[in-house]
Amino acid sequence: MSVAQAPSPVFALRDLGYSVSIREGVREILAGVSFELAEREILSIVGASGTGKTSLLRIVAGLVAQSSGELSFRGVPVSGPPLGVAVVFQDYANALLQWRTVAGNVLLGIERRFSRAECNDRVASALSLVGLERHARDYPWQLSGGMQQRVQIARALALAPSVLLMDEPFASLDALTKSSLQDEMLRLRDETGASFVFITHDIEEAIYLGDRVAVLRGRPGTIAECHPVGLGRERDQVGTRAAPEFLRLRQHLHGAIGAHA
Amino acid sequence: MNRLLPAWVGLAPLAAVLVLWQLLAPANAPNFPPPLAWWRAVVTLATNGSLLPAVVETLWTFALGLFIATVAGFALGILIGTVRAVREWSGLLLEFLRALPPPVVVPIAALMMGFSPSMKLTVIAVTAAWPILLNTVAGVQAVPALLSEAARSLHLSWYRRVRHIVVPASVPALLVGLRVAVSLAIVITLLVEIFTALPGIGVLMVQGQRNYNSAQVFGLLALVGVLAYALTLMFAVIEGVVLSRWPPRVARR
Repeated sequence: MSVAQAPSPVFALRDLGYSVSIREGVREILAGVSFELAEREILSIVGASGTGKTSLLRIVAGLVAQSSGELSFRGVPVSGPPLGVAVVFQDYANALLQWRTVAGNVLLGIERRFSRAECNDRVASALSLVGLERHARDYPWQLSGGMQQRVQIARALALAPSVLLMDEPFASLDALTKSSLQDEMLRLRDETGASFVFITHDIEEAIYLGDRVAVLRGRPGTIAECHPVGLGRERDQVGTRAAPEFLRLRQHLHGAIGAHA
Repeated sequence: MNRLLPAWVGLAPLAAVLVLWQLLAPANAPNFPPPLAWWRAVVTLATNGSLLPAVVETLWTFALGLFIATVAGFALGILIGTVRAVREWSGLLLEFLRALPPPVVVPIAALMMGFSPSMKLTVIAVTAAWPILLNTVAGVQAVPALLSEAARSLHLSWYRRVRHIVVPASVPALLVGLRVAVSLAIVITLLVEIFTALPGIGVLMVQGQRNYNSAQVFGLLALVGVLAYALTLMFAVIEGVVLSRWPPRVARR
């Protein structure tokens, strides 16, 4: 099981900082953030609100530049959204083009890059990966929240990304939809071999999905601790959540995220 | 919506006034001719061959002017809404020009361009473009920032972001502006015709007024009302068809 091997990091962050100008001067959002993302890994980043979770994801996605420190994707410094990286946002309703069909949304990122036949194949397989093959011609607003979030995930998958960056993707969904999408995500990890950065404020979700859980804490936010999740790769909603390791981590993280700090 | 009465019942007061007018007004009343006299005056115009060309001319001018207004207003609105430098630079100018009442453009345009068909079109286009322009700018600025971020993370070029995100996202706002522009364009078309004696329904109205043929004026007024109502209905249908792709929340705006 444990083969000694130095996997090359997909993303590497070194002492990353981010600050924004506000009326009273400069506000530090993130400071001294360092971590690496390994191949085929799900790294959960859990933190209370106001710790800069979304800022961190936007920086890693290349949507905004960090103020200090280094960020590299497969050894290359990031300047702008890297190819092979897809983002899934929490607010699916505003992340989708509501006036385009489901298929049209999935096509958006690939239509200029591949032949029509290749595009059609990719759209069809992305939609079937998330179980929406029968809704290709519907408009997003005609679908439920969980299905709209699946559209966004399919749009990301159509890019055949090696990394998916997910910013609280299931936070505005009901509990049942949430757990089925969590399991779909684990299945997608196995089927696509992609790595994930999964940002959440939900401790249980962070443990359930993560191979490692990093804690973002403080103002400015920083990665305060990082724990490997000793649960193996097979997870299930009932058994995993009752496993002693799960409960131990959950108890520890409840104190560690410092929601009241 | 659950209607208590059919929509046409709303027209009942108007019909009642017309019927009363017809019954109470003397047949030869010079200033307030009864509705049947209007009808006869319009029929006279139709049979002597002056009505149809005037209606066609007015409708054509209206349509062309509105088309130019829509294209120019939407294109400028997208540009102003998208490019921050243009927005900041043009802000005061737009506020000033918007404050000018549309009819005062007519004498200026007449001075600059003479009483020509292109002057007529220019006046209609310039005045009707405002509501479209301003609504489009507002529409562009209301595009969710997240949508632009999502597009950037999908590696869409600036051009494709504008074409596939900004332009379609602003269409509902454009249609709101168009609704205002339609009625404004009708008003301005007639106003220009009345003012300049360029051919159209407006000229026939002025002629009727100068010849003390008040029945002709009232008749044409009623005709314009019906035409304007039909145009409004037509645009409502177009709007409904276009907006069928948008969420009902947006479409109802």
